[in-house]
Amino acid sequence: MINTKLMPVKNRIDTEQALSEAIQTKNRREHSMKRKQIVTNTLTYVLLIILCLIWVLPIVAVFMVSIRNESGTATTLIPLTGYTWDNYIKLLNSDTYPFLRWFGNTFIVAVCVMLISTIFVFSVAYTMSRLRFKGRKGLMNINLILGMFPGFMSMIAVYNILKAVGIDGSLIALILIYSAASGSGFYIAKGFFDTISKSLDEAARIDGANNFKVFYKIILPLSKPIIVYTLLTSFMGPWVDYIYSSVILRDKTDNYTVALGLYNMINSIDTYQLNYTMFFAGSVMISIPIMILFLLTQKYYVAGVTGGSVKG
Amino acid sequence: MTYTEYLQLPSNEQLKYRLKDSFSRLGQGFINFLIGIGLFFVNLVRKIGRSFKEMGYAFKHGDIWTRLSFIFLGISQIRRGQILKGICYLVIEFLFIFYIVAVGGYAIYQLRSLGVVSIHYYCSIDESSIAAGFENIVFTDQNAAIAYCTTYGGSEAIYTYTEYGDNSFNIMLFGVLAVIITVVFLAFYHSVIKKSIDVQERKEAHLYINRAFDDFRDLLDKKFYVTLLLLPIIGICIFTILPLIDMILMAFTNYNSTHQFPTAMFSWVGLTNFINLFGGSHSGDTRFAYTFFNILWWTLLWAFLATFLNYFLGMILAMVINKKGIKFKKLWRTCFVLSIAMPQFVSLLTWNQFLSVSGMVELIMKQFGWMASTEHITILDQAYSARIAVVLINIWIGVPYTILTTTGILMNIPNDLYESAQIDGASPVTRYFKITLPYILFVTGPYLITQFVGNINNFNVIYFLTGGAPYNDSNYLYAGQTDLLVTWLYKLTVDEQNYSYASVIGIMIFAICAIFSLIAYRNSSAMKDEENFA
Repeated sequence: MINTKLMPVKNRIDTEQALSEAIQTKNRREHSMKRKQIVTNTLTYVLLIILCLIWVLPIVAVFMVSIRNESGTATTLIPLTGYTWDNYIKLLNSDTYPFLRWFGNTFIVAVCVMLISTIFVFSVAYTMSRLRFKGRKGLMNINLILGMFPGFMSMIAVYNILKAVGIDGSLIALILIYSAASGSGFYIAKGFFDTISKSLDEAARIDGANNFKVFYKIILPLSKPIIVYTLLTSFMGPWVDYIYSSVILRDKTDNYTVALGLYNMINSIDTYQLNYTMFFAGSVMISIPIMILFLLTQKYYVAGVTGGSVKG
Repeated sequence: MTYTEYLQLPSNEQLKYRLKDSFSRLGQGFINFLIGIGLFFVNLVRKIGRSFKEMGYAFKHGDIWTRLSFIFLGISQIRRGQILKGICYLVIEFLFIFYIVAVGGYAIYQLRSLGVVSIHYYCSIDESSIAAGFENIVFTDQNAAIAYCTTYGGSEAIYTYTEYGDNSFNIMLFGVLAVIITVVFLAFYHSVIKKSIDVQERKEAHLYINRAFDDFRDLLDKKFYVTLLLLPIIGICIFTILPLIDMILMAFTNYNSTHQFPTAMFSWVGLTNFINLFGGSHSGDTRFAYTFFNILWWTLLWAFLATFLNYFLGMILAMVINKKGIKFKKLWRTCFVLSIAMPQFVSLLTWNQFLSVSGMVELIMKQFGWMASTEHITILDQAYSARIAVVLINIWIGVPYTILTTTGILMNIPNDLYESAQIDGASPVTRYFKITLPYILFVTGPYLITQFVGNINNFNVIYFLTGGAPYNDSNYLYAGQTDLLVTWLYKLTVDEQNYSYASVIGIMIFAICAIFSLIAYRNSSAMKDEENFA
């Protein structure tokens, strides 16, 4: 700011006038810009609210359908008979649809798969990231190629192998197909290990640690986030998978997982009108834990997708 | 052409260049795919040649013990003090020989014809044993057997006793398993021979020879990779590679619902299925080819739309949420992310229910009077509207994923780029096309192609949403008009049990995915810089 008090009087008045004009125009411009910003922001908020409604309403609708006091499809938007928790109670006590049993099956399978695949994924990821040996590149390339075949193309053959062994349709078979080949999904964990500085390993090796100790004492304690991510994603797998369980379990209703059971509930034409709202009750019950788990793992998911894919 | 030269071109020339470039990349991808397959076999032959050379060297320079190792594996090791190791080698060799003589050899031999003994029937009194006096009267057709038995079997032997024939699938399975075991054993044999001459030379040079204890210690250090990889690789071999080889071989058989155990066997048919796929059918039934090309076209269109719409819409939404001055960023993001937190089969089945007859959408339209109460919703009944619906709902499913992944990247774009652009008077649109888009494309380019390949294989969306319906075109073979190759594959295997055609489709999907993936990996420099990452 110019100090006008040091100037001659005439100049002082001129300059003060010019200055006040300049400030006025500046204020006006700022004002109009602010107004413009308020308008665009309001428009953005409106857009966001509409879009959020489009995204959230179907989810709310699932819940609202699940508490309708009727069994079949709706005929009015607001049910004439009101809302109730009966669908949930009915499903939990149902004999034809042993939901609790399916839930238990899925839980057992998920826990076993979680443990086995985490061990497998970590073994392979650490090997590929840290150890150098002949055939390493070759193995990685073979794995890439195998990944390009559609996953369940070989399901029929797997089913027949399990049948030849005599465990088709059992939970053990299910655990095996989810976890046995899980070693091939090592890319995200490998990407994480790649970011841990190699000088740590070298320092430990100089101190006399062998590769096992480096893995166990240095890499594992540093990889807590990726351990959590791998545990949770492999735990969620059996809850949301339909294809593999449908091929393996076929008509063994007792061993069904939740996803398979729910799909059959809504897709058989004769019982469709009887189970409509019950299906949605089941959906809500399985969605809530999965949603919580997903929201917890979000940030790892992001790191996995962007980091993992860029690094191949 | 350098980037600056490209920028100086007029915009229509730029577009032309882009098109030419992308098509040539597609061509390159295809050529690289073929070259890759060729190189694989060349390398294989070269490797086999090299191992023969190494074995020749071992035979030429080995002493009597090393030479004996060619017959009795491990003799050389036992002689030089590695007793435990040598005995293990010897035991493995005998186990292998025992396996080949007992079952393996015959299993491989049977691969030639995939079974010769077909199912046959005898007359029987109680269905569990052959009736006396009818031992030599055999039928291959059950109806003929029943007719004969009821006529000549008197009052008692009017049932049939079934003797099952060869199970072609198991023959193939165990044959392939035997081949794999043999190949693994040969590789093992080669490495043991190499070690035999190696340990001999070490002994002669008075170098240290590993004892059993050293070997065990190495399993946690120098050979830690063996310990770590053993179980995962066995798992992948049994649950991925073995079944995959089986299914690939099935593409060259006539395995379908009429050629399957227990009533019939299947056999090798060479390239017939592939000829059928490309329209040269023997029987004049070209529906397989017709379906394939129609579904292929729709699959590629779907993958393109699903990938790019989700990508750009998601990016724009992420930018809107990230805009300066917008509050509750976390709340908006969570609203969108909720839809992917829900298990896909739930949200997709829900949408399917909402869109189908007397579903929620119809209900709302009737409630607001947009539709007469006697009418029914037909979105999923017409091919074009069903396809549009599928793409739109896939936006609902997929956009949150893009928001989730691009948000972080958007925040990482250096802010001074925008500030200087603003000073230069660039409009928001220009800033988007000149700064945001190139930056994000640079970071997520490979991700985009992975997404494209993922969408080619997007089973869930189609299967749960439409199940492939509508089925308006009767020329489609076991498929509906929104079916993708991958859902068609599922139907061919699970519903129709036409395994040979399914395998052909599986191989085609592999080829398509491989071509697009090759483009992605060629272009990603991160792949090459693996070692320098940290």
